[in-house]
Amino acid sequence: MRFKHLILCLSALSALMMCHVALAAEPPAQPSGLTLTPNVVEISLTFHGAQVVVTGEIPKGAQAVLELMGPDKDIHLLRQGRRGGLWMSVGEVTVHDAPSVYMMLTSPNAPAPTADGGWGYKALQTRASFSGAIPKDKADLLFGQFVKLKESEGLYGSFPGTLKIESSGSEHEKFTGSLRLPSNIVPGNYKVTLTVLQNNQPVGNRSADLQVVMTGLPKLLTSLAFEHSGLYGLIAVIVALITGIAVGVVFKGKGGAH
Amino acid sequence: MSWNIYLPIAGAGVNVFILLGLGGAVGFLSGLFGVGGGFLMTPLLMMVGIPPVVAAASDSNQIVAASASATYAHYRMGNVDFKMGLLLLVGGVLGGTMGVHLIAFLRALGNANFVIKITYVIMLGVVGFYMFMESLQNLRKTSPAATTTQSGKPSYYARAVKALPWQMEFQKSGVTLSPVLPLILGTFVGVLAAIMGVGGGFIMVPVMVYMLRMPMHVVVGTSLFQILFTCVNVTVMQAMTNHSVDITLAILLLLGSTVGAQFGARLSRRLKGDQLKIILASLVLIVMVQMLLGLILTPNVLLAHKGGH
Repeated sequence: MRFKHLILCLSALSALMMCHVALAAEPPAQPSGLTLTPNVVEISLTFHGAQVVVTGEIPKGAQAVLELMGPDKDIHLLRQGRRGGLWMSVGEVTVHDAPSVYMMLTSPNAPAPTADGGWGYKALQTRASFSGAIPKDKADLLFGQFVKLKESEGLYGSFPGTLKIESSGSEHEKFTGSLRLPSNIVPGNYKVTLTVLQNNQPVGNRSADLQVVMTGLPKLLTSLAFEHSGLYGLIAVIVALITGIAVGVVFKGKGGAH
Repeated sequence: MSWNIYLPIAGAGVNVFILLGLGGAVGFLSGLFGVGGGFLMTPLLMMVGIPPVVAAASDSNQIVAASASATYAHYRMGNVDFKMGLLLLVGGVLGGTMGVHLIAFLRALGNANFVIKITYVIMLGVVGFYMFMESLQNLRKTSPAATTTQSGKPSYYARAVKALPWQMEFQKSGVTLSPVLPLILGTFVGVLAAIMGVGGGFIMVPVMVYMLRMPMHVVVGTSLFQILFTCVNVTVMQAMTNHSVDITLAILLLLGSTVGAQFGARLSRRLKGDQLKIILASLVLIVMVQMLLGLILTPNVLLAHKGGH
C-alpha cells in the first residue's frame, strides 16, 4: 500500500517535471531577412540540445555562408602531457578572441574557406591568440587541438555544402540551413550571420540574434547552487534523507549502498 | 515524448533511462554483493560523460539516501556502535572537509580530475585484487570457509594500538582501544570519501574489521552510520565550495539504486558468497583497468577544460 503511494507520488512528480518541456514560440519575421526557427532556445528540464532552422533568400546564382557564433571570451584550458607514463595536465593555456561556439554551413558551390576569406576555422585561427604554457615548436598545433576539443563537445562544427538552396523562377532563391545546438550549450546571446558570395567574393551580409535562455527548474537549481550554495547543499541533503528513509520504511530496510 | 533530462550543474542533457539504469545496475550489484556501490557509480558516471567533479559530488549526495535507509534498518536491529561511530564521524568530517578543500585547491591547479582518477585506480586496484585473491583462496578450499581467527600472540600492530593513550572500552563492539585510532582512521577515510565521492564503506569495513577488530554485524551498522554523516558533510561542503552537486542527477540515481538494491538483495540469497565475491572483484578490476587505460593511452584531444568540465 505504501509502495503504491510512493509510486503515485513519483509519477505525479515526474509528470510535473515533464511539463517544463520547452515550447518554442513561433518566431516573428526578422528585419534582417533571416528567419530563425526558433529564435529563442529554452533550456528546460527536458532539454537535450536543439535544432535551429535558418531560412531566407539570396540572389539567384549566388552562394552563401551561414555562421553561428557565441561571444568571444577567454577560454582557460589545460594542456595534457605525459609525465611518468601517465597523462595529466602539464600547463595552463588561455585562448583569446575565439568564439565560445562556432558553426559554419556553406552552400554546395561556395568556395573552400581560406584564412583571409573571413569565414571558417582558418579565419578563426588568424583572429585567435594563445597565452600561457605554449610549447615552442607546437604553437600551430594548439589551434587544431582547440578545434578538436570544441568539436568533441559539439560546440564547433564545419559543414560545407549543407546549406540547401531551392531554385525558383524568380530572381531570388530560398536557402535553408539547420544548426544543431548541443545540450551543453551555455545560456547567452548568439549571432547568426549570412554572408552572400558572388563570383566567390562576399557582396554583403546579414545577421540575426539567437537567444539561449535557461528556464524552469534548471534555472531555479542553478541560481540556488551558485547564489545560495549553503541552502542548496542543505536541500540536497534533506531530499536525500527523506527519500532514503521513505524507501527504508517502504521496503522495511534491507540495507543499501555504502 | 522526450525522455531526456537536463542536468543543470553537469551542464548536459542525458537520457533518464541511462541514469535510472545506471543507478539500478549499481544498486542491484550493491544489493547482490552486500558491499558498496559508490565506488562503481562515480567511474560509471564519468564514462557517460558527467564531469568527474560533478560525478563525485552528486554520488555523495545519492549515498546520503542509500545509507540513511540502511542505517535506519541496522539501528532497529541494534547493530550501531554509536560511541565508535561518533569518533569515526568526527575524523570523517575532519577528513571530508580536508578532502573537499584539497579538491578545490587541485581544481585551481588544474589536476583535480587526475587526482580523482589516480585515487580510483589505486583504491579499486587494491580492493579488487585483495577481494579476488581472498575469494580464490576460499574457492580452492573445498571446505566451507573457516573464518580466519586472529592468533593469540600480540602482533606489532596490536602492541602499538595498546600503547596509545586514553584507552577506553567500546561495549557494543567488545573492544578496548584509544579514541585516537578511530579518529585517525576516520580522517583517512573522510579524505578518500571526499576525493572519490563515495561513502568510504569499502575502505571503512576492512578498517573496522582488521584494524579496530570489531565484530562483523556491528561493523556494517556502524560503518553505515558513519558514512551517512560523512556524506552529509561532503555534500554540503561540495555544494558550498565547488558548486558541483547536481541534485537532479542524485535523485535519478538514488531512485534507480534503491529499487535495484532490493532485486539484488533477493537474488543474493540464491547464490554462493565466494562466487559472487569473485565476480564483483573482477568487475572492480575491469573498472580499474578501464580508468588506468584512460591515464596511459594517448587522449584524442591534448587539451582539457580547466575546472573539471
